[in-house]
Amino acid sequence: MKKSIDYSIEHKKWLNKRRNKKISVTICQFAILIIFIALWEIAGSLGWINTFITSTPSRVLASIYNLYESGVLFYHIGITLLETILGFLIATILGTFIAIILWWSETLRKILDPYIVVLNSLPKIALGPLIIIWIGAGMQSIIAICVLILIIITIISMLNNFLECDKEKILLMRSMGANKFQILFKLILPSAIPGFISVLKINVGMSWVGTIIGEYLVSSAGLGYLIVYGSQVFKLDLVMASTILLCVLASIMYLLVSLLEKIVLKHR
Amino acid sequence: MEPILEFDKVFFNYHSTSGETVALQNISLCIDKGEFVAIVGPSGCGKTTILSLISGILKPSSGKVLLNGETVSNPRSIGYMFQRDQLFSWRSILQNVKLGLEITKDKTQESKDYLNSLIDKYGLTDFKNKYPHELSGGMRQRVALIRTLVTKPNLLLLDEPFSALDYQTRQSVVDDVATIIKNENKTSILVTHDLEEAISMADTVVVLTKRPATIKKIFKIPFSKQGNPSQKKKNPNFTKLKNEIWKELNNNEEVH
Ligand SMILES: Nc1ncnc2c1ncn2[C@@H]1O[C@H](COP(=O)(O)OP(=O)(O)O)[C@@H](O)[C@H]1O
Ligand SMILES: [Mg+2]
Repeated sequence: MKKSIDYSIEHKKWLNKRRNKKISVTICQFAILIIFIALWEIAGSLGWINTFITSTPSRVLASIYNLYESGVLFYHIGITLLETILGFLIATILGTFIAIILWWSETLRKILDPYIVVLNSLPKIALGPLIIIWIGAGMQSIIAICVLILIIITIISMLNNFLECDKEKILLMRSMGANKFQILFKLILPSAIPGFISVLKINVGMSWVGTIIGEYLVSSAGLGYLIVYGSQVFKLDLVMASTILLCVLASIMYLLVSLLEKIVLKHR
Repeated sequence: MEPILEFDKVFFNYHSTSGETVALQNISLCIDKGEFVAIVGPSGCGKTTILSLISGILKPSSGKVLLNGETVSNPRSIGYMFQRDQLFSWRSILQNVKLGLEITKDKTQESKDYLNSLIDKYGLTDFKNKYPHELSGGMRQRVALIRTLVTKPNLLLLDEPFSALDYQTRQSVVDDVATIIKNENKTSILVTHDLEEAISMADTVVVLTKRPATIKKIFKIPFSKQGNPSQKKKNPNFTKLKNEIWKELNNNEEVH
């Protein structure tokens, strides 16, 4: 059922104007994409650009279709997706858990502080080769690299999130007789949810970086593998196709998190 | 009357790496059960520090703070009201008010009835399922007060609870809170830098010097039982008393 509200003419005008503006923005956004693709295609077919290194939209599509035909499209997508989602989940859950422990114990927090700072400033990718030697080339290494890239920043952000909680709210809970568990579950965690969502948003993007870097280092399957393989055999169509698939997948995952945000933050 | 709270020659110093701050100096004070005490003093003089000592989150550097004759170690069974309402934005009004019972795991019918009676009596019935951001600032402070009453604290500590409200709503919230506290007959300590607020709400006004806080003078308010704060403000003796206390507050400088 729709609520019928009598708006004034001025308000209706304002609503209309707003809607029209929104529509024109969306049209422009699509137009840019279509013009870009069209120009790319035309420039390729008229020979303005060297299609051997730039490919064209039609060749990209053909390349994706080829992968599909030979039955490996969803295999590669699935592998990369699995690695990314596992890396993302492990890093986010484990990182948040460690942040909770550090919130709980101020002493531990102070002792570990310099280590966390150093680990955070370290370019984690540098540890890639070591990880491969330690736990073997394969999916486990890729997930480990992904987790390594995400976890330190997750710990730091979530801990700051927890520590930002209003001191007066904590005092209020204590004056009602709350123990530390109750303060954690009834106050600290719920009040950290908006911060948790921003961490999720950052992690969603970073988990793709982690996975693709991992796949570059130990390729056997996945979109990262296809990119490396394609560039080695100069099949630039394949490289472009994989890159575009990555774009689409990453956007979908980001959209899902945004959707979650809308649901969870309804009352904030 | 039996004293519920006693300060006996209390000193308090803050320690930080940049040095030591003497916040309280030789505070002795006795508060009776059911009394409403207002503590006034310039900002930064140590008013919040006094409340922290009462709730036990700070320990006196020397001297004694006794609540019901015992040294306090944690803020249990004290009701707090702050400048900001500190309602939990993710909980509905009803869930906010229930917080205390959840924490104490109190599921008795008696407590539920008390909670519902408070909600009905103080006009929250229509707001029960709303969220804090849907309420006005004054209404939120009322909810904050009801929330602290649910667990039946012995003592209410009010730390400048009206200073964040705009001028128009302030007086009505002051009346509101004063009336509820009077109805429920709670011993209360209000900390404020607003003299009119103090005189119109309290039975006793304690004037502090600027930091380090010492007690400058204690005033009994003769008309404290005559109506709500707005009515008391119209009392012929109100302005006279206000001027008298004002003088005490403002010749702080001569003390040092
Ligand atoms: N944690 C602290 N460490 C050091 N000094 C503090 C601390 N808290 C408060 N102070 C100082 O103690 C004095 C009294 O503070 P407070 O009791 O909050 O004042 P009021 O509530 O009257 O405004 C202030 O000058 C403040 O700077
Ligand atoms: Mg203060």
